Amino acid sequence: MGDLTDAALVEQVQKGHRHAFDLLVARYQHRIINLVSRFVRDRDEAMDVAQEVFIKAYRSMAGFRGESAFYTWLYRIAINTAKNHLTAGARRPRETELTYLDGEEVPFSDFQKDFETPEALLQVEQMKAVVLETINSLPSDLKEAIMLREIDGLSYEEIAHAMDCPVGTVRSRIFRAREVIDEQLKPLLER
Amino acid sequence: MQNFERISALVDSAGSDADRAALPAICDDPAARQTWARYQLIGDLIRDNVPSSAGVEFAARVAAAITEQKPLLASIVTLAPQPRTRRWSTPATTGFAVAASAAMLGLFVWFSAYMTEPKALATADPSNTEMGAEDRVSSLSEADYKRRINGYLVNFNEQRRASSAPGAPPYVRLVGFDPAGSR
Repeated sequence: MGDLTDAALVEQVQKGHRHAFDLLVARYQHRIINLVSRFVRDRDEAMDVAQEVFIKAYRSMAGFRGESAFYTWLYRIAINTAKNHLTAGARRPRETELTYLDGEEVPFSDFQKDFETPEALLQVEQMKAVVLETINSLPSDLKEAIMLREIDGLSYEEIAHAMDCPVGTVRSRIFRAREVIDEQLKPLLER
Repeated sequence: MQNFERISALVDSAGSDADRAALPAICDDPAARQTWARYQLIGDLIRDNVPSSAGVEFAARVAAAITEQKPLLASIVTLAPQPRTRRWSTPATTGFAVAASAAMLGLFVWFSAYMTEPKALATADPSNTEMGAEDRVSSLSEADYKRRINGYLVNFNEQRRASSAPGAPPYVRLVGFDPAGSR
């Protein structure tokens, strides 16, 4: 298994620690929802399928041997669940498909927007704006560290090399950046 | 209260062994779990990966659904691994499957003969070029039907005993047909 944090969390789940699975859900929920939404266009159905993916994963955790990365395993469950959902749903016509029977090519993003509620869109846009504003207000060393980590996906060692500082300093800078952003984000989530 | 810098490092999969050893404590601490979730969210927001359809309640919904699954997983986790068994290869199931297959085959053969024989009669008579379903049924006498089905059931029971297929339900032996007792 590639990711040591995932491996440790999986081990905890297999020992019966259910909240360890909550951490895995928090870690991968958006990737799985985005993945499922590529197959299942209806927003509510996509959410149900994504939920089913995590429930299936939880029920199968005892059999997960760590031969692949946890996300690879979860990805396969998501693809199979979404395809099964489509197969089961093929018997009934979908409104979205009927709307575009004239053969016009409609980009997926247009479909997706149709099913996003204005309130949800607004909430996400607000959170995004707050996060980006806060990042722009950070001291340059914190801003650079968090951007190299989150945007470029560099490891702490790579960031340390790029910023010419110890790994421990990188760890500390990234945490401090998150702490500042988190303080701004919390009120939006508590509404 | 957890060390949130530790959580930050674990979110980045950059934690040390000591950090990972703290995971059970993080799992037990609601504030630590919420911090973990917000740190993940911050990353997803920066990368513009948050689907607006998700809402903030998705993880809670999953957690609630999983709570209902808890007894099932607990039983899986606590039980020692069992050797795999092939459900369809048990003697009882095999016996029943053989008996059921023989019964279906017999019925099929009988039904084929029942359906084709009147047609043969019909083609033998040039004056009778068309036959409806009722004609076909009536072209074989009732006595013939009873004799055939009784013969089939007797043969089937004998064959079943000869094969001594284990696990055949007891009520199979009671099946029979009595022409004298028919309507």
